[in-house]
Amino acid sequence: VYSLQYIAAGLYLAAGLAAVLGLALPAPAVLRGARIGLALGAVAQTAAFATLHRLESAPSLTDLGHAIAIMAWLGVLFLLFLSLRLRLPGFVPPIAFIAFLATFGAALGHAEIAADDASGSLAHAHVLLASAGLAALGVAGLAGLFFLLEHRTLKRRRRVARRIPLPSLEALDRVNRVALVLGFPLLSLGVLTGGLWLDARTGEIFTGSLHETWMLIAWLIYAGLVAMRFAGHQGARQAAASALVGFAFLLFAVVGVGLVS
Amino acid sequence: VKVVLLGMNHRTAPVDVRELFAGGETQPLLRKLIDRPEIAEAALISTCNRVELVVTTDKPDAARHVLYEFFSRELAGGSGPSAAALEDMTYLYKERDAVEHVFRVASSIDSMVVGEPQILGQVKDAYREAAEAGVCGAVLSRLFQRAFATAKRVKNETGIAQRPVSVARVAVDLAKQIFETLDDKSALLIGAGEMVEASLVALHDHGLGARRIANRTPAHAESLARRFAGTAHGLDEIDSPTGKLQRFLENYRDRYLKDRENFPGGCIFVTFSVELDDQRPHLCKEVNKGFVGVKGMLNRLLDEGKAAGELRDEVDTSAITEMLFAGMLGASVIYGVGKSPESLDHSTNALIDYLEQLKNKDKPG
Repeated sequence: VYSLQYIAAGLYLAAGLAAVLGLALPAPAVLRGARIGLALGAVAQTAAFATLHRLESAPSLTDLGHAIAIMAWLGVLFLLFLSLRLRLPGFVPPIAFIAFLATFGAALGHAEIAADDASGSLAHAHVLLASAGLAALGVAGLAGLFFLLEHRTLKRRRRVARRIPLPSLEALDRVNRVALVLGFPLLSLGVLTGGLWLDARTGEIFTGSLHETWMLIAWLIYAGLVAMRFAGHQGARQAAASALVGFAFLLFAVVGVGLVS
Repeated sequence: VKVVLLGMNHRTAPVDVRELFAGGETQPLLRKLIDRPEIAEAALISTCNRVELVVTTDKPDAARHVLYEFFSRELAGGSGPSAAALEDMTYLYKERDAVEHVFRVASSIDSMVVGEPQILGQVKDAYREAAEAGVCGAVLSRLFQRAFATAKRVKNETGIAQRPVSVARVAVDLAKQIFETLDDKSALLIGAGEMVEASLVALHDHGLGARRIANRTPAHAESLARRFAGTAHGLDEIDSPTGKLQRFLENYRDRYLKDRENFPGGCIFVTFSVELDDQRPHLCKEVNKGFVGVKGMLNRLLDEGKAAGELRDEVDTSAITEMLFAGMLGASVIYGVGKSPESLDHSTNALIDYLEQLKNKDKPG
C-alpha cells in the first residue's frame, strides 16, 4: 500500500535533482522537466493518500510524519499553482527535496493507525487546515529567504548578471503576499479547529500544553506581522524577514516543541 | 621622449564634472595642444566615463602644468574647475605607468563594466582622430598599436569577454533581477549618449512599457524619444514640482483611468463616494479622506512650483488646485461614460496645457 508513496518520493527526488541541474547549466528545458516531475509526484502522492485512507486500518492524520507529508504535498500543490503566473525556478529544488524527505519518511515510518479520538472530522479538519496554512506560510518563508539573499547580492553590487535564474524580487514579494493571504486564514482555522477538537476530547479549549502555548504565541506573532504587512507599515524587505522569522516560530511550535519535550 | 597621461574617470570625478569635458571637436583641440613647445604628440580619449589626454614630451614636469591648464581651460571650454581643483579629480601617469594605463583602458580592464567591448572602438577612434589631425607621431602610434594588440590578446586569452557585457546589458539584467516583467514598468534614462541609446535598445527588446529620456539638451532627448516612442524631458524637469504635477496628470490618465485590467470601471472612487454616502458613511469618509489627500498634494506641488519661480507670481494656487481637481474628476466621469481614450487624452492634455500656460516664461531652462 505504500508503493505509491515511494513512487511519489522518487518523482520528487528526480524533480529536485533535475531542477538543480537545470539551474546550474542553466537549461530552461530541464527546469520545465523538473516542474513536470514535481506535478507527477503530487499526482502520485494524491493517489497514495486516497488509497491509504480507503483502508480499514487508515493511518492517523495526527501522526507527525504523516502530517508533515501532507504539508509537503500541499506545499508542492501551492508552488505549482503559483508557477502558473510567476517564474519560480529557484523554488523547485528545496520544495522537491523537502517533499521527497517527508514522503519517503512517512512511507518508511508506516504511520500509526488512527485512534478513536484522532479519527473524527474535527481532528482531520485541524490537521488538514493547519498543514495547508503551514505549507503556504512555509513557501512565504522560503520566498522571504530568497528575497533577502537576492537583495543582499544586489546591494553588494558584486554580481549583476545572474548565473542561476532565481526569481525576481518582484516575483518573490508577490509570492510572499499571496502565501500570506492564503496561509494565515488557513492557519487560523487550523488553530480554531484544534481548540474545538481539544474541547471535544477534554472539555477544555486550551489545556496549556507546550504545543498549544507555542502555537498560540506563534499565531499571535504572525497575526502582528500580517497586520503590519497589510496596513502598509512594512516594505518588501521587512516583509521578507518577517515571513522568515514567523515561519521559524511556527516550525518550532509544530516540530521543535515535540523534539524539545 | 616620455609618455605622460592626465585623465579623469568614473572613479575620480562625478558625472556632472565629467560631462563638462564631453563633446567638442577633438582635432582643433589637439592641434592647439601640440602648438605648445612642451608637447610633441597628443591624443584624446573621450568616452562617457573618462576623459584622458595622452602626450609625449621631452619635459615631463613642464608638460604636467600644460596638461592641467589645458584640461581646465580648453577641454571644458572655460567652464571647468580650476587647475588646482582638478588635481583631486584626476590622475597623472608617466612613462611605464602611462603606457600600462592605456593598455588597461583598451583592454576594458579599467572600465566601469569590466569586459565591455565598446571601449576598444572608442580608443581606436581616439587614435584615428589624432592621426587625422597630424598630431600622432611614431611614439604614440606605436603605443596605440601595441594597446590594440594587447586588448586582442586579453580578449582571446582570458575569460574577460566570454559573455557579451555592456552597461546596457547590465541595466537590463539588473532590472530583470528586480522586476518580474518590464511590460508594465516605465524607466527614466538620464542622458542621450551612446550608452543610453544602447540601454534603450536593450530595454525596448525586453518589452519595457514606457520610457522617459531626460537630458541637459532636450533636443537630443527628443530625437531619441521619437525613435523609441518615449517622452523627452529637460534635466530640470526631473525634480521640478510642476514637472511632478505634469507626470501625476499623465499617470492618472495612463496608469489609472486607462488601466482596464485593474480598474475596469474607470475612476471607481467617484462611484464609491456617491453610492456609499447613505449606506456606509464610514467608507464614504475614507474615500473623502483620499480626495482631500490628493487635493492637498496638488496644492502643495503648485505652492512649491510657485516658490521655486516656476509659476507666475499672480497664480492663485488654491483656485488652480480646485480647477485641476475638478478637471481630473470631470475627465474620469466622461471617460467612464464614453470609454473613449481620445476624449480622455484631449481633456487631460487640456489640463497639462493649462499648467504650461501658468509657467513663468522668464525662468531660465
